[in-house]
Amino acid sequence: MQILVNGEPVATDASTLAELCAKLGFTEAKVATAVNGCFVASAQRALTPLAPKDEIEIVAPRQGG
Amino acid sequence: MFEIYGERFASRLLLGTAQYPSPATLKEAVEASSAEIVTVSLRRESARMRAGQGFWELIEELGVSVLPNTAGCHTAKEAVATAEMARELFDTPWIKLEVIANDDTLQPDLFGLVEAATILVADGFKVLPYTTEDLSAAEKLASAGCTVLMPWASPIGSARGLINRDGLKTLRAYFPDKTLIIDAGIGAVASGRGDGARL
Repeated sequence: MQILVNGEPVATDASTLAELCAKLGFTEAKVATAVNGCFVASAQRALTPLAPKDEIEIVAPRQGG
Repeated sequence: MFEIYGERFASRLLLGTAQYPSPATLKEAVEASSAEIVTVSLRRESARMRAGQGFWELIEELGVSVLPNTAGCHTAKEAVATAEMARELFDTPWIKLEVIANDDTLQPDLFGLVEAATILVADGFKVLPYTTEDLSAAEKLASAGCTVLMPWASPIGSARGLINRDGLKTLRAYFPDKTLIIDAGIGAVASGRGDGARL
């Protein structure tokens, strides 16, 4: 299915957000996630199913003011 | 002493972490400034670049308190989701709440700000709202449970200094016990500090 990850189209067969993070290499990374504009805590990623056209945000700490 | 939600700090300086030429320079600046709080942000992480991971290691090494922000958010909903992500990433209930009205002036959207602050305070956040000197907005933020306000001096990055000194003095008069952090447009640190002290 096609989804958007950080605004970019991605084809994936991941059925959950945790699977998607693993496929993208983020399992051990310091990241936070949201699906369709709603925060998903790390402990909930394995319980969060993905659907076509979902919009996923994966963010990390960064410099700011 | 300077207090933020019950925590006391010897330094009144909050240091941004953006636009340093290198991580080493950032580290040196934080150490030289004696700032005990640095502001940080969130960005989309690329699976290839992993830019955030190194930054996180640097922040941990610095051993200072971090104040994450919701920079770039234009709606209360976006700001709330970003705050929730920041709380998990940085393990702090503090959030510098920014809801931006437009990209030219980076003026705070005071309506969205109050809406987001109300939601976040109810969810246990310690909210530091980036606001203007507008008293009605400040009163609503205070009613929502914000004990710290971050009024701008002038638009972000403009370096115009305190363009509405009377408005800031009014805020101080109405909220003698609140921590007010003048946040944007200050210009040179020395002049900003001097101006702030005279409010």
